[in-house]
Amino acid sequence: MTSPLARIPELAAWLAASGIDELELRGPEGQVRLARGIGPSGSGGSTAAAAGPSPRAEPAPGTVRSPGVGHFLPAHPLRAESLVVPGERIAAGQPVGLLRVGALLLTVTAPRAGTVIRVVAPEGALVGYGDPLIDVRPEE
Amino acid sequence: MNGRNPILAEAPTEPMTGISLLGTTALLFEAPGETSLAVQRRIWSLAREAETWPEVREAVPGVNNLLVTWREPPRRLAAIVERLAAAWETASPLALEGRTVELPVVYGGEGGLHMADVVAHTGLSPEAIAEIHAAPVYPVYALGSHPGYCYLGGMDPRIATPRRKVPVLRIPGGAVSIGGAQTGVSASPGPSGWNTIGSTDMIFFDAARTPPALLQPGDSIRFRIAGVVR
Amino acid sequence: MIRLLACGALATVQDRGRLGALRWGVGTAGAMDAPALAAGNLLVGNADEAAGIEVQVLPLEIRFEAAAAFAVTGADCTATLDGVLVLPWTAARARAGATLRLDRPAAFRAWGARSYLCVAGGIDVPMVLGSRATQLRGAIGGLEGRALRAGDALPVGRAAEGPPPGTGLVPPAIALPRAVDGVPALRVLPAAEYDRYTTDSLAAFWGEPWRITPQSDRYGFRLAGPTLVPLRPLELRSHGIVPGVIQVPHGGQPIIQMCDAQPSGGYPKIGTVIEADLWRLAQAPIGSRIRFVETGWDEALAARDALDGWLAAARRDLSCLSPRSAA
Repeated sequence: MTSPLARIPELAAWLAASGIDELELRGPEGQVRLARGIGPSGSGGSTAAAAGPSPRAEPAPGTVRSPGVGHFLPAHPLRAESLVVPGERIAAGQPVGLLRVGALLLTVTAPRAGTVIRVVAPEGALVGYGDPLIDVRPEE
Repeated sequence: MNGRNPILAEAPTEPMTGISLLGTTALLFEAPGETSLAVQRRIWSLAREAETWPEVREAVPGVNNLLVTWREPPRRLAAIVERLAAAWETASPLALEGRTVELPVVYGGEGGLHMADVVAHTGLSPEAIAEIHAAPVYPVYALGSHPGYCYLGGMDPRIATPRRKVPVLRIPGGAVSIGGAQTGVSASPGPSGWNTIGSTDMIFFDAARTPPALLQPGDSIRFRIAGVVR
Repeated sequence: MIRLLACGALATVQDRGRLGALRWGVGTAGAMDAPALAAGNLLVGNADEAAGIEVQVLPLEIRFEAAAAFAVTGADCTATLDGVLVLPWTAARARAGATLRLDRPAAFRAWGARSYLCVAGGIDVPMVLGSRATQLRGAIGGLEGRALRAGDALPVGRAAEGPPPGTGLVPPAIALPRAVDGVPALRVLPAAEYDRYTTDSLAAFWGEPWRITPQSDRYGFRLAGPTLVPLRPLELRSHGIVPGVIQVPHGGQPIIQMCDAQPSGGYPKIGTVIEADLWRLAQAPIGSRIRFVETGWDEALAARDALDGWLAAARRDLSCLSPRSAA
């Protein structure tokens, strides 16, 4: 079993992506508090007491990038249909995919409205923070 | 792995006593021999004993048998099976000091829809059936079927009538009925395969009461003929 | 409080079940798919004993009279919150006045037969004999001991902080799949009268698929398949039974006793679906088929451990996500 603390980078990234301000991680080795934009650096980005993720690239406007490490699922595993299909207009905050992290299925949401061009990440692929998942043409 | 019936394969001590599995939820102990109050008293005694064991959630008497449900199913089944078989050997009859409750019954009529079938099967008149049915004091052997329902012992075999081929979807609470060699009173409306011969107004179950059931094993019921409707 | 605006038949308040009341003739009742209810409670930060709503016939429409976290688990259904899609098995948050609607799923053959709605704080109907579960016969527990209907108002308990919205769990149907020839496979421990059936009957019992007939509900699942024939007619005395017991009435077509089954019976028992597979059965829709697979005590305990392990992993991973404040 992986320790929850080993998941700090992915969880911190997910925290940032899901708009949550503060998160506490507890594990057998102790606990860690993750805070967004209110840490000592106060820079407005994600900060983690243990290890903060550093985005590999600035996300292109509209493109949905992975908020963390996990297995990408374009559809909920109980369903055959993908959450979004090419050509579909999506709203900001709309669920567009899932990340399977251990027993968890974390919702990936669209950062802004747009039109889906294509789903980039293959189903079940292990993706890392910042990896492109879905190409989206943002709305003007 | 053991064979088809893992318990029996592991319990060499009591091959004649039936101990069988109900999945990982419970175990069923069946006493050998005929149904009798003497055997039932030993079942009550066994229930008292088994209920004190830490792995046991409930030990619930049936008619000549005992259901044992687990808090956690035991890892080693053989040990508890042997313990149960041994406890049965030493179980002495528990003569529970119960109350006797009298129930006025209107036999036949609307509240006794299947009286005609019992008449047809036994060749007795409704009045005779009522008298035979109301004669004994019936000991409560066990509770089950539905909340507050009592399994009674001691019905006169002359009025025994087979269960209905097609169960009735809804008989009312208070229905007095005969199924094979047994009789009972339904405590709430529901389906039944028994022959309803009369009705009573008694309330057998109230979840807000402590205990919630009016009667328990060791209590007795006496039926009083309040009327016979033809 | 939540209010039911629309409600199909057979929606009931259920929890883990009423354990320890068999002595009064009171069965367990409780959620047919216990792991789904447990997952829903975890997703909204509820205690394990909290009650939710079990929904068999859709649609179900409710209004949140106060803001609350919620999750829909169990059978897949189309869930919308004020018209916006909500993912299954995932924590979400409703503002006060929001309307949640559960509809028949769009997919022709969606997974499952029963959905569960869990609300942070739990459905706070009074405890009766240690449980909030609805037991229809005897009208015990739940809301006035009956099925829910449109217009009902359900009290909600005090909510604890739960995982952030968007957090979901991998359902056991995905984590612990079990099928033979594409048909759900239920592990069965032989019961007392197993050896009293003909060799052909036993071969058919294990070898053939069984169809779930329309006469199947929270009381029991009536199956259709080969006729099971006893070596001799069997007469039994009334004895306690539990959910999962497979009885064979005189017609030879088995009935599996489920959560609302009466706690005693007198029909011969050929086997018992193990506790760890009851949720699979609960989610088998009417008209679908199932298979029985023989198992032993140790295997049955291992299956139980695996299901407990799934829940423990869910609990552990969720405990990593404990928000101080959700945006």
